[in-house]
Formats: sequence, C-alpha cells, structure tokens
Amino acid sequence: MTTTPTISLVGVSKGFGSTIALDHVDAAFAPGINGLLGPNGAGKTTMLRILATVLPADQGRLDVLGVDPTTGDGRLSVRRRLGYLPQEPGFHRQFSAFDFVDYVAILKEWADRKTRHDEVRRVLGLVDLDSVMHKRIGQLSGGMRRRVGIAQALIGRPDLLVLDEPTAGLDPEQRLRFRELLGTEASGATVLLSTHQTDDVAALCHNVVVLLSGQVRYTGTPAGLAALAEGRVWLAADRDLRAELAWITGEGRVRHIGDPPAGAQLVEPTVEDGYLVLAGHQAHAAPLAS
Amino acid sequence: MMILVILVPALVVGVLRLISYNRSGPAEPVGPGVLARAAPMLLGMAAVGVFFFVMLGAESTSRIPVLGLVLALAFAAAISFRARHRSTVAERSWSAPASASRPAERPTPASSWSVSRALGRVESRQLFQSPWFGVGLGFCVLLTVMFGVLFASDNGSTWDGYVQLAPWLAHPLVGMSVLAAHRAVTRARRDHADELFDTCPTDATTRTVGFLLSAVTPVLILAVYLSLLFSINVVRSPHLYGPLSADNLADVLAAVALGAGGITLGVALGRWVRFALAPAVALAVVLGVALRLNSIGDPGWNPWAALSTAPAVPDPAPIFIDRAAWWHLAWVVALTCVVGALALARHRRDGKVVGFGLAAAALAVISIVGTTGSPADPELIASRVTDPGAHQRCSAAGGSVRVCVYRQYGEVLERLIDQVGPVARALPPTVGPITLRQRFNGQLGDLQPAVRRPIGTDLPGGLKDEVTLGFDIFAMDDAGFDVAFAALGLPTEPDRRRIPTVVAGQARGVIALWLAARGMTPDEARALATSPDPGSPDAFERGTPDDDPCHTPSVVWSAQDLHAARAVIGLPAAEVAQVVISGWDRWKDPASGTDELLAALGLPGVGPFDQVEPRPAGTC
Repeated sequence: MTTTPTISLVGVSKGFGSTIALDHVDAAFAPGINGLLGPNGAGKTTMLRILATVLPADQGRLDVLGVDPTTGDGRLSVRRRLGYLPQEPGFHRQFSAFDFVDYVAILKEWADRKTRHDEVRRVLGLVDLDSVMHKRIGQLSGGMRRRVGIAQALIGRPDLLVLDEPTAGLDPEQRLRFRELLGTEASGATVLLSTHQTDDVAALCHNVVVLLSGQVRYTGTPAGLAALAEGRVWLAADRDLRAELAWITGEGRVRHIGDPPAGAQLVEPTVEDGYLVLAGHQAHAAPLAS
Repeated sequence: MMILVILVPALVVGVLRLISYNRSGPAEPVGPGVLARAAPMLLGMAAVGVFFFVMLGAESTSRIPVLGLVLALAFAAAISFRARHRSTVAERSWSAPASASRPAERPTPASSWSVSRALGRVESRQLFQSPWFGVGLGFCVLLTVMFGVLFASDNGSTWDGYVQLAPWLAHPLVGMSVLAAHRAVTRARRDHADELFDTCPTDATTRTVGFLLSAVTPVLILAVYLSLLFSINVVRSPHLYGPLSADNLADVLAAVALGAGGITLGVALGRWVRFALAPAVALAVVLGVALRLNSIGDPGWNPWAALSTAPAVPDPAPIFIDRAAWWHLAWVVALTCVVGALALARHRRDGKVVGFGLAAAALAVISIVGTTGSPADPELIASRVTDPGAHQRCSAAGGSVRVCVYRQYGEVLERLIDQVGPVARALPPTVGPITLRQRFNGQLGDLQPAVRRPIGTDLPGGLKDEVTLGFDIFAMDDAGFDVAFAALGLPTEPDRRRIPTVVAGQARGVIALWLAARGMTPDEARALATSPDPGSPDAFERGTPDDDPCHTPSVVWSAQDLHAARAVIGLPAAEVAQVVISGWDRWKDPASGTDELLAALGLPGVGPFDQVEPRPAGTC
C-alpha cells in the first residue's frame, strides 16, 4: 500500500461563531483506511465535512486527491471521486431504498439508466439489502437505513470515501460485515472513517488520527496509540480510587489506567486504553506521534 | 353506473396488487410497491370526492354516483395504506455476499442535460406519490364525471364558448401542481438530505432543471384530461353546438401550458422562499389577481381579462368577440418562462439564464400589448351586429314563419325548424310574416371599442315582425312559445323592468300554450302547461310553468288558465284548430276571456281567475 498522502491539511482552521472547531490542524492521509478518533465536539465531523467539500475552511491549505477543493473546478473534481456518508444522513423516507440510491447515483452523473441500475443493485447487494430494495426507507430499521447510507457512498467505487460514524446503529455482526466490505470494496481508495468504536479502528485502520478540542493529538498506527498506555493498564479485583480511570469489565474485574493499584495485574494495553490515556492529557499538551 | 363506479377502481386496485406481487416475487409477502405508493394520491382523490359530495347538496340526484366514486376511492386508499403499514420490514441480518461483485466501469461524467433529464423522470414519477397532486387528479376525475357524465345534457352553450372554459377546468390540477412541486424542491431540506446531495457533482442549477422537467407530467395529464372530457362531451352533450375555431386550440394549449406554469411556480418558490406556506400564499395571490383581472371594467368589455390565468368567458356569443386567444397563450408561455428563469437564477445568473429571462419578459410585454389591442377585423364584427341578415342562413319553418341563424351556427337551424314547424303550421294563414332571428345578445359596452365605433351609440333593434333568438340552446327550446306569442301579439321578452305580461283569464294566453304544445308528446305538452309549484300560496308562482328560478318569463298566466290549457291540449287537435283558426281575431283580443274559449270548445269554465300581480322574476 502506497504511503504517499492523497489528502493533506496544513494549518486548517474552522470556527462557528465563537467556537473553534478546528485549530490549525496539520494532517495527511494516504490510501488505505484512516481512522479519526475523538470525543464529541473534537472536530472530527467538521474535518470530514471540509474534506467532503460540504464546508469551506476558514484558514489553511488543503490538497484532496491532487486538487485544491477551495476552487470551483477543484470541488467538482473531488465530488466526482467522492463517496460520502454524513454523520446523520437524511433520507427521503417515501423513496424505496433502490429509488434513493438511484437518485444519488443520478446526482453522481450516472445518467445511463441501465448502467446506473446495475450499479445500484450491486451496491445494495454489497450491504445485503437487495431483497428489500423496493421497500420504502421509512419502513426500514435504523440499521438497515445506515446500510442504505453506506451503499450510496460506494457507488462507482470512489477514490475517496468519507464516512462519518458509519457503524452507528449496526449490531456487532453487521459491524463485522462492514469491516469485510471496506476491506474489499475500498482497496486502493483513501478512506476517512470517524468512529467512537476503538475496536473498529484497531481492526480496520492502518493510520489513526486523534482529535481533541480541534487539535490533532496523535497521528500514527493503532498499535502506536495503544503503546501510549504501555505499562499503565492494570486489572484488579477492586476499584482503586487513585486511578485516572477505572471501570468494571465483563469478567467482573476492574480495569485501571494510571498508577498500579494494590494487587493489580499489568495487562497489554488496547487502542482504547491508549486513546483514554491521550484524552486524559491537558488540552495544551504537544501532539504525540508514534 | 353505480356498478361501474365501484367496479372500475376495485379492478384498478386489484391490478396494482398483482403488479406489486409479481414485482416482489412469490417468496416475499406482498410488498407495498406500486400499490402503497399510490396511497397518498388515492387519498387526495378521495378527499376531492368528499368535497364534491358535500357541495352537491342534499337534494341532488348526482350525489349517489359521486358517493359511489368516493367510497371506491376511499376503499382503494384504505387498502393502499394498509399495504404500506403491513409491510414494515423486520430487521434483516447482513450476510456476506456470495461472490465478489465487479463494479461497472465508472462512466465519464454525463452532461448536465442528461442528468437533468434523468432527474426529471424521477421527479415526474414522484409527483404521482404526492397527495397534493392526487387532489389535483381527483379534481380532474370528478370534473370529467360531472361535466362529461352527470351534467353532460345540461351543457347548452356553443362549442366555442364551452372550450373557452379549458383554463378554468385546468386550474385545480395546476394549483395542486404548485404545491406538489414546492414539496419536491424542499424535500431535501426537510429530510436533511441536502448535505449529502451537495457533495455530489451535480450542481443545484442542474437539479432545478430536473424539477422543471417534471412539468411534462401535468402537461400530459391536462392534455389527456381535456381531450377526454371534450371527447366525452361530443358523445354525451347533444346540446352543444357551433363550430370550433382556431382560437379554441389556443384555449386548450393555454390550459395545458398552465400545467407547466404550476410546476415552475412551485419550483421557483421552493428555491427562493424558505416559508412552508409560500405556495398556498402564492396560489391565493394568483387566484386573487386572476379574478380581479376578470372583473376590471365590469360590466362591459374587459381587455385585461385575457391576462388572467383563467380568462372570463365573454357574455356575448363568440362571433362578436375577437378574444386574442393566441396572445393569451403567448402570455401564459411567457409567464411560465419568466418564472422558470427566476427558479434557475437562484443558483446561476450567467448570460444564458439572464438572457432567457429577459427574452421571456419581452414576450410577456409583447403579449400584454397583443391581448389588449384591437381585433383583427372590427368592421366584420360590427356588421354582424348591425346587419345580421347579411351573415345568416334562413329557412322557412312553415306558414309565414322563417328562422334565421348565423352561418356559423347553421346546425341549430334544423333543430329550430323541428320545434317551431308544428306551431307555424297550426297558425291561420292570415297571420303575418314572423322571423325568428339570432341577434347580438349583449350590451353595446360588451363589444370591443374598435367594434363599437362603426356601430355608433345605440344598438340597432329588430324589425317589427322579428323575434330575437339568443345563443343558449335551452332558451331556443322556447322558440315555439316565441312564435305563438308573436302571432298572438304577446311580448316575447319581459319589459325593461323585467316584469312579465299577465294574461290571467285571457283566451289568448291559453291559445299560446296550445300552440306551443304542437309537435310535443302528451307528457311534454302537459308539463308545458303545469306550474312546478301548483300548491304555492303565491298566485304568480302558481301561474307560471317556468321552473328556472334565474329566468324571467315574458308572460304569466293564472293557475286556472294553466288548468284550462291542459284541458284544451287534451282535446283532439283538429277540433281545437278549427275553433282557434275560425275565431283568430276574436281570441287575439285581450278582452276575450278563457271561459269564452272553453265554452266554444265545449269545456266547462274554470273561473274565477287568480289576481296575479305583475312583478320582476328571475331573481337569482
């Protein structure tokens, strides 16, 4: 897999009134699956919307797939190679799944009906909705609607896939299918995937960016993110009140992050642990990279 | 009729269910498919049916078939909605695909026009799922049923005058198209899909063109609907008469063009105005302006009516008015284009759009000048008013009676001859010549100024032995009465104050009824001499057989005269004719009483006679 970035952000800022959503962000994304982690309000969605040409940046330079998306021609070029799934996609609930994806395909300039319908059936088949494609979207469950959203983003095998929380509303089995799908369908493409599911990041992403308060706090591999919590993750029978973070696991033991509680067992850190360590740093700390 | 009204929609629903079953396959429960999609439209149509049912009134016999239609539509809508709700889909797992799929080669970006056309097709289909559009379709169906079936035999105008109603008949669907188009354009915003759509390469202008192209749907529907309605009228409206002119083609084209106008207005409002009630407000404004334009300068000629989206049909017969129908069509097309340019200008204001808008505006201005300009041949029209004989065909009806109608309406000549012939032949040979002649049926001010100038300040009156015929076919059914009244020296019109002549107790009144009954069936003849309200406490109402509350008769009898007339009508015609003809001059005299006539015929007297006070009638 090539590591030459296809997307770069240099000093990108974006504000909404007095709120600074992105604060002089520098980031680069290469082909492959790139994860965006961060708490609510960190700026993930804003970054994705800027890259999907929904919003213009207030400051900074952008390069998306070799073009400047701040120009009209650049935006058009990006949009022709883009598949986008918003955080809260809106659907025409009276449309059938087929009709809605078909409508998006038309907006993506697939004017020939036969070719377009074949593609629509293909992408709906990828998300296993071909048997219900003629049902109205309003009659589908939340998870199935999310799959419709994923399907429309895959039309034409775009070079850039921007997916904002694509697995929200999917059950564990469906998340597994989503990972499989992304692995096959998005090969060669640059995928930006924002999620709260750290195990999705661990399983899918070769690169992860952690955003906190509009700033990049980490750029690197998931393993590197997990390594931030090396030597700081403990399992104990009881909760230690001095721990930075502690929670009860499914086995009934208490997982701690921070100084070792008495009688605790050191365990291998996960991506989630690394993220939690990072999120626990002061906002003005320098970004960490692997 | 009732069976058809219920069976046909049931068949339609059944076919729709079959189509949706076949589409979803035998392994699937019957999905909503086409059936469920039709639910909003069927509901809209049923709502219109309810409206018509309520408007018809409790006494109307037409309520029953309309009720049947409403029940059928409501039944179909209920099945359709049930199909929608029953088909709620249970969560389905996401299985791995059986094999890898090969994506299609990503096509080269299509032209904007191709994309717009594809969007236009989608939006055209979506119109049929709009309840608003369904209401408009419901109106089309109901108007066809009413004007083409239920009340077809009540259409008694000229064909030219009837087809001028085309824009009025189109307005319900046009109005609903505004609402439906506005809903379509604002759909992305309401459903929060605009963020996703804005990241697609198709720009907003191309999408606007797509919405505008959905105008094909109401245009086609209006063309079919009006063609169907008028075709049905050809078969079921025996009383419509007269030729169609090239102007009528312009009337129909203008009505059809309004369909496009409705869509463009809805699209423009959806693009520019973020107010959900904007289309309703716009419709109210357009309707208000249309009605106001129709009433400028009332009564009298109104050149501005042609600028209304539904021009008022002029009172005088069509041969006296040059309506500038083609300029009206140009006006409608120009307005549609101006509004369409406005819709496009929301996101694009380059030379093409601005140029198109300016050209449309220029056409609109030219159309205003054209519609308000002078008629092409005012002298010809003036001549039809001042010298009708030069433009008419005449035919002898029998005896000394002849009938003259304008050449354009020659087909009613035979009908008139059939009606007045038996009356004419029953008159004594001493009766002087009587001419029933069509004349201009309005006021001088109803004519266009250029036509008024050659005529002068007064309309010419008819000659002494002439009876004026109008242009309403049902009024022509009274031609027999007109001949009888004229022969007996009775007026054929009420006086200037709209007060009829009272002939209570006069023999000539009974003879007029007997004459008018010549050529009728016994039932028709009896009805001719029967008051629709014989039990009324009002002697005036008991003494008039006219059942039209909006019509002022020229003559009123007493209830006793009507009774006497029915007795005379029941006698052998030859017997009555001998008495009538031999004593003609006597019976013409107002001093000769009804009882005298009855005595001469060997019938008992019917006096004393009601005191009937003359008063204006026809007050509706």
